Amino acid sequence: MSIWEYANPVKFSRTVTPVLPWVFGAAAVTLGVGLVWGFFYSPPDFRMGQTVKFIYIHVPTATMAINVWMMMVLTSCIWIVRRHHVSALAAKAAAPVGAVLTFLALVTGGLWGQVTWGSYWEFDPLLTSFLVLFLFYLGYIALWEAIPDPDTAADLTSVLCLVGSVFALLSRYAVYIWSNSQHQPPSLSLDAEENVANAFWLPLVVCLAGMFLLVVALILLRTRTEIEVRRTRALQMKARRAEV
Amino acid sequence: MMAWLGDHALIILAGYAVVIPVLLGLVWLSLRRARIVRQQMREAETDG
Repeated sequence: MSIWEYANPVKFSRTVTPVLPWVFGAAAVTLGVGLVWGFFYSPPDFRMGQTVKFIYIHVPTATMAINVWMMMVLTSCIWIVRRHHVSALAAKAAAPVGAVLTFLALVTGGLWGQVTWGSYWEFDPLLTSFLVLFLFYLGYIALWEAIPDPDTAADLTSVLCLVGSVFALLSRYAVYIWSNSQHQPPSLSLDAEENVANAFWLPLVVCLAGMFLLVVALILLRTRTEIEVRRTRALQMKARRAEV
Repeated sequence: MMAWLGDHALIILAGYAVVIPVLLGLVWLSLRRARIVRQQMREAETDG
């Protein structure tokens, strides 16, 4: 068994269909538990007070916004190298999900920033990179719609995706590169000492897991939908040719 | 709830009030589009 078997659109759709309800269900439960735990049962922070509760919505949306772009980079590379259509369609399907998450991260970050820094926005390296990433998402979606030929659209959007990866990486690592960044250091790290306190870390990890499952479910669903759109267009063209 | 959340209760609630409906809306729109496309595919298969 090889992962490349799922490059076959029929096999991909047949595998995804029975799995989807379970992934959506797991996402709903995990995210629900995480948000309720974080909102109602986690303590206030000694500096930020109850505004620390933004961490349970801001960090998962921001983290997944970057991760979705990196997934698009991977699938774009697979399209460029191996020309698997499912891969290109997965990137196309993921883009609106990533755009929404980036938008939510910008909004929640702005609200949190208003309380913490006294302003909704600063032209800080991390925030600016994140805003540019959001614009790249919008440009990616627009480019897919602008080009009639799907293979050409996949080629050009793949290149755009690779270029945009710079801003995804900058968004993730800007706090390490620029020491005078306004944005606080990451809440999560492989180094346990750098993590936020356990009282916040545990519900945050649950929220992250829930957001990850939700994103996976949405991308699988939307990729299957894109495959079915292609199939429908092919069937309609075949019917029109038969009439002629 | 407002007293428990402190001085910034409204802004905290505003954040959650944006995120949860938007995520639910994204799920709903994705499921709706999937249903419509599946129906169109079945019609195209029948016509073919």
